[in-house]
Amino acid sequence: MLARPASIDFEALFGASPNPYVLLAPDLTIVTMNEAYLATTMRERDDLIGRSIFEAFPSDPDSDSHQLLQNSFKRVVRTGERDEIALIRYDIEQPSGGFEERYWSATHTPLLDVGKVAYILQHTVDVTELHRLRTFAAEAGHHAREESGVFQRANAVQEANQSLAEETQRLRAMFEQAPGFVAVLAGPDQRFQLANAAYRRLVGGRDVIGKAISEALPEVVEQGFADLLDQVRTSREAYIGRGVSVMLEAESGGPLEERFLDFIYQPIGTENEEASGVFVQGHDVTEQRRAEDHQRLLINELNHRVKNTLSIVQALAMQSFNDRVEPAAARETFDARLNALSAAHNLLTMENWESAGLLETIETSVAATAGANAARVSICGPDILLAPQTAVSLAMAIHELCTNAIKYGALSNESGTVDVRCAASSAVDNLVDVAIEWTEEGGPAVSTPSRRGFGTRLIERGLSAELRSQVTLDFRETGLKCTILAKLPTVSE
Amino acid sequence: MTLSGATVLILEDEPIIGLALEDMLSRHGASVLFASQMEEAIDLIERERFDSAILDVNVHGALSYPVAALLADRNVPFIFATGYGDRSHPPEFAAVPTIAKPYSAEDIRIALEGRP
Repeated sequence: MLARPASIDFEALFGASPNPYVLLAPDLTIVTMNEAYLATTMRERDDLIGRSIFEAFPSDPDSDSHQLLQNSFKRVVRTGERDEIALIRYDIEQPSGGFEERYWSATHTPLLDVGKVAYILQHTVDVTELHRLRTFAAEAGHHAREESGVFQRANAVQEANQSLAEETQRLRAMFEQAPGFVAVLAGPDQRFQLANAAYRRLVGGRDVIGKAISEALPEVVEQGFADLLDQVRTSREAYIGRGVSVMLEAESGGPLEERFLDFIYQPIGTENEEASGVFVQGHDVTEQRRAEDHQRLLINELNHRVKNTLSIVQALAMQSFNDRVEPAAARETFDARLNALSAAHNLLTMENWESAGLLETIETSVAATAGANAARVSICGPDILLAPQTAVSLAMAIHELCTNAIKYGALSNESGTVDVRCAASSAVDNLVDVAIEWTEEGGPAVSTPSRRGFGTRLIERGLSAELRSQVTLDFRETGLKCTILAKLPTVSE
Repeated sequence: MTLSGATVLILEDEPIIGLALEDMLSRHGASVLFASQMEEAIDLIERERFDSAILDVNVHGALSYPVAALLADRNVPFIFATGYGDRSHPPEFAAVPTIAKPYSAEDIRIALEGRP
């Protein structure tokens, strides 16, 4: 490190500075100046010292230059503050005679002594060359107007860019938040430029931006969608898909899941023969499709049940109306059978046609058939669940047993009773052994009927079990005993 | 074939409909073999002799096409009865006459005898 000198010779510093300086008294008499000043003004020291500055460098007192310079000196003396002149033309007398056109920039700094201006230090810079260059440029290209035009245009472009940026931002936000999925793919390798939130959800949150479709969504390439996109791009014809099945990874790396999509592939860019890319927009209609499928299934099932029920009603009518029975009696029998069928349907409807309880089915059928006499029928056992078809069969069998009891058996007098006992084994391989014993007592003496009517045959045919049921009808003198043994599939609630 | 004197196998899981069908056929002079389950029908096909068959398509929730295939193997003529109006059969059974529930005795006679 250099040692700091004991004292600094400021006069030498002043003299050696490359910046031109001149020191004036408040009355503008030149006190001293440095070498740089003498060089730029092309004068000798002795020509200047002791003279007024306007005497040393004369100019027309009415000229703008003279006024500008004089006013600046006056301000410094009056205010004691520095004053600057950005640009001033002040021509200098050449040693060889005549004046040279010169442009200056000047700073006038007061040197104060006890609050009063003792000297004014002028630092002056010759900017003639700069000024000439600017003038030259102006003459060459009308720069003032051009410059302001360029500036205005630059401003306008700047504002336009700003509003374009805002517009783009708004559009991006709209795409991003659109309820439908939106993506833009560009180039022959179908590279994702844009994919909104709904699109990203659709593809299991995979990061697709900047990736070719074969890399981003390999599974859709196998399903022909990349070819379809390429066809739209090269032919420039939009493609509209409705309810199209697409297998997609619902989670990145997870198993493929079927989605149904409504979508459009729209070619974009008009400058070439081929489109520059494809705009993809659409909706996931999977839930809607599933709801429609489910509805179709329900309607088909309903149709099947209605047709089946009509067939049953037809069969009941055929069995009720025949040559051996009085028409009035036949209609009564038919009405009673329809009533029993209707009661069974009501019971099943309450359970959405999924199942019906064993005891409930018997009770409902007995109540529908026997009316007030139902009190004389006691029913006990476990209330296991029956499949709908089994419940209908059982209800109709019970109806026939009840009708028979009312006409010929225990319910045909005032005191007879019917005891219905049910039993069920525990489930083995989802099958349950069910036993139903219908025992009549206290009725008139019973004998085996000479011919087997519909009721008897229906009872004997059993419970529409998926496995054969065994039915025995024992016409004992004390009353009918009917035993139904069936293997039924378990029904879950 | 004519129904009179013929033996007909019925596969029908709904006992009430089965009974009515049995009566219809009896009235036309036919005898009936009745099955309410597919296993029972297959058992009858293997053990009994009969001239034709009426198969309910949906038996306890399953389709009766395996029974149909067995009948086709043995060249026994058969028809389908179905409550599903809009269901089409697999190609090998596309030509099999099908009657829709509810059907009349005449529907069955025409389908089985092959003439009005």
